[in-house]
Amino acid sequence: MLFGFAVAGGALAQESRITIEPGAISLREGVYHLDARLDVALAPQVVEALDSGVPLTFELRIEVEQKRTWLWDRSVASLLQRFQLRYHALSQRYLLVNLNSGESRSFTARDSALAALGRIQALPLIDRDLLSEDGTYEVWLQARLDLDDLPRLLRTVAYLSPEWRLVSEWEIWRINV
Amino acid sequence: MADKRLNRRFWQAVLRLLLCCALLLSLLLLSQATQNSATFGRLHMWLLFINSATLIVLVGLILVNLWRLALQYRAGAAGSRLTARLVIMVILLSVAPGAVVYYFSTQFLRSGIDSWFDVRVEHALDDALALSQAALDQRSRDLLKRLQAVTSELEGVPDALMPYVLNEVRDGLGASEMSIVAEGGRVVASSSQDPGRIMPDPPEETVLLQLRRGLPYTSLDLGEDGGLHVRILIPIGGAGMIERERVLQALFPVPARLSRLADQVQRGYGEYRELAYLREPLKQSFMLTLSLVLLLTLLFAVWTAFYMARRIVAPVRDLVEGTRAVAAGDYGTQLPAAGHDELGFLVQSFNDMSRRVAQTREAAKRSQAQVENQRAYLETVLSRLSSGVLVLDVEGRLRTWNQAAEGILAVPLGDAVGHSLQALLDEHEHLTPLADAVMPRLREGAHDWRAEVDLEGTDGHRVLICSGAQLPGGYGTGGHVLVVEDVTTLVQAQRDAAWGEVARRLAHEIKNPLTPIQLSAERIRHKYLDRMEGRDADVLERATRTIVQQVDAMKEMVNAFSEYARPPKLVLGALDLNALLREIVELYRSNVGSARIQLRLAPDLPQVRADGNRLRQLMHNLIKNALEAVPVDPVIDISTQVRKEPDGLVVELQVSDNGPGFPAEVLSQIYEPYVTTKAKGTGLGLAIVKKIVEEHSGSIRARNSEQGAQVLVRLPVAADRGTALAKEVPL
Repeated sequence: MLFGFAVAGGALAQESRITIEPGAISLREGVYHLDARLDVALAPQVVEALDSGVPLTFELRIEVEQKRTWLWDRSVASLLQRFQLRYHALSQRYLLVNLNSGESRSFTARDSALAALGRIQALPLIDRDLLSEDGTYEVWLQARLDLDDLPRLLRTVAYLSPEWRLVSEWEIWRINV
Repeated sequence: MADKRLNRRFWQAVLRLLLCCALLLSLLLLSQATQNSATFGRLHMWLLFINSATLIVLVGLILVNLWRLALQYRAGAAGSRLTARLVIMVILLSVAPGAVVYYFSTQFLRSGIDSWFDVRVEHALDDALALSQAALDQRSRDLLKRLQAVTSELEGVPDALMPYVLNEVRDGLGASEMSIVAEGGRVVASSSQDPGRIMPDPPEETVLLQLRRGLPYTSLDLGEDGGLHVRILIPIGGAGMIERERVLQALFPVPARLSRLADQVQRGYGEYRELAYLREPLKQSFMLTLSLVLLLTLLFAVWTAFYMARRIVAPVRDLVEGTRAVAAGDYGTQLPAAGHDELGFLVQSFNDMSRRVAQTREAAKRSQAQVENQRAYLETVLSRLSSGVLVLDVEGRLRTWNQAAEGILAVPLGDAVGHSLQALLDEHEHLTPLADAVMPRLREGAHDWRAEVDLEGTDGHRVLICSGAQLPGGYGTGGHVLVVEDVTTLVQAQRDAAWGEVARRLAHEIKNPLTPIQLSAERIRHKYLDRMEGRDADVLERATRTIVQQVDAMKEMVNAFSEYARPPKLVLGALDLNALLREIVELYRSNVGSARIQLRLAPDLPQVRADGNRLRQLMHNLIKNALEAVPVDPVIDISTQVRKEPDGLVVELQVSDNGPGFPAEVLSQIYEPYVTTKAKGTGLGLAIVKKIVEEHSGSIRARNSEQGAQVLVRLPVAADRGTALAKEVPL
């Protein structure tokens, strides 16, 4: 096991995982922004699929909820960011497309593409004005690989196989207005 | 009951049919989803899940059925073995072909999918891609050379003028975008064909590493419009500037035609690679679907096999149980209807047979009961007959007898049934005359005969009338019936009646002349005795005295006869026999000298219904007889006691003496008139005693004891008078 870790994260590369590194929420110009980083590792099966031309769709689910003492929490805003990562054989580059904005970037290395995917910088969440005074809010973030977007034949295998299970834990930040 | 069962079966069948249809539909959808169907593609997982759940449920159901069958098999339940054989047969018939089909299907599936992918096509696509890449690389190298040629123009240009110079250079080279990036990713200057695009993409870290080593970097890049670009980055010198090293980045558009062709190659190659990659998942998916379909079908077939086997075996099981019930004696067992096939016909036939057996058995029971009733009736009639009846089979063995026969023959017949009559008669000596009369006729096979037989037994002389007849029938029912009638009493009664008539005539014919004879003799004596003397006088005196004495004696005899013949004039009433005996004995004790009379009277003796005077005469006769029988020191013992007879309570009076007893030769006719052993006497003493006893419906028995003669008289007690019968029991 130690040997596995020692070989350049080889052991880590054996299983797929997404972890959210601790980030921060900051208020800039009346808008709350999120800065975070995702550490995405792909299992060899997933890498093989990606290199074979299978596009991978990643989702960032962001929920802003108001905490309430006597009632259940109220959802204030929800945001879904979708990214597609695929391999372009002709150019031998990885293409990362933000499906929400249509913006795309290509990378020579897969790790660079994954790093770019995991880089969340100043993502605007919600206007300060939309939050009530003295309210307590929580921002929930989860990143996952959208298996439903996989080719249908691969979908069944992906659902049943742990290598394809790419879901992060929910990361929570608290906002005290 | 049968209707309910049929109803339940019908609904079970409907339920199974619906389940079967649902399963088929589910498998069909799964098949559609497995094939490239967009409609059911989304349901694929759900269908897999549902079918897997169904699979588990079916396995559970089969296990439950197996467990039940195993329990029934172990308990030896009717039909369990047949069910097991049927199930095994159906399983073998369904699993074996299914397994074969499955094996070949998987083979075909694998080879079929693999055959879609042609190695030559793959190589051609690889080559096409390589060719495209080579063409673009050539263009990239050309552009690099051109760019390297103009880098000198940019060296030494102040940053403020750089955008203008850059714009000129870009126009000159025909690039779509050019920019100079300083260390740290800062854009020093940029120029673009697209005026809206202000900020170029910063180069990657790995690219920068390559550039730091002084090497240019070229790559194909995908524009946001989807078009291909050649991206070239080269380091340029920064003399006089703030940063030491800068990077010139230029984007050159690939000509539209080349770009389109390259895109088509890329698309074809990408799709083929993706398809090739999905080959294994495709196989797995098909295999999964095929396995599920086969497993579900087989398991459903196995489950249905249990159901069908049970349904087929149910009538057989019913038949087995019904047969067992009939064998155990439960006739009339009816089985539920089992449809209209051959098994149904068999069940119907069984029901008919069972019903008929039950009816026949009922009829046989009724017949047997009738026979029993007739037999009981016959036995009752026979038992109440005073005549003895013996039924013999064709071989002369005793079959049936009645109580009267046992009494008359005085032999136990209970153990003689089944034994030869000849042996029975030979065994008892006193029945020899009967054997002599009966056996020859039986041997001759006389049809109807009658004979009179005299038996000498311990009870005295007896007269029997025997009659016989042949019974119709063969070995089982034929034989002889022998009727034996004891007519001793009848003969005795006839004799008594004759004697009574004799006595009455004697009394009437003889008594009348006696008085004139006596008177004449006395007159002769009175008139001539005084006139004669001597020897004549003695003769006359002796002669007349003799006449008078003999006439007195004759009178006495005639009176006795008269008394015997006189019809009874009884005055019956409740009588204390003990008191009467005491009174009579007291009279004798005072008159008889040396005689000793002992009284042993039972206390609390019930009263008898009798005429006191007649009983007094009875006692006088008995005591007189005893006294006359014992000339010296007579001792007479008189005792009473109560006895319980089958006909009721009787009072027994016993008079014994210490004399020589009755002579054996007269014992059998002791009660007949003129039977006497005494020199004097009429011989009517015991005859009158017997007559009085019979008048009181009693019985008398005379016998010799160790001390002397003994007479037993039994009289019914007052309450039981009606039931008592007069019996004469000779010694």
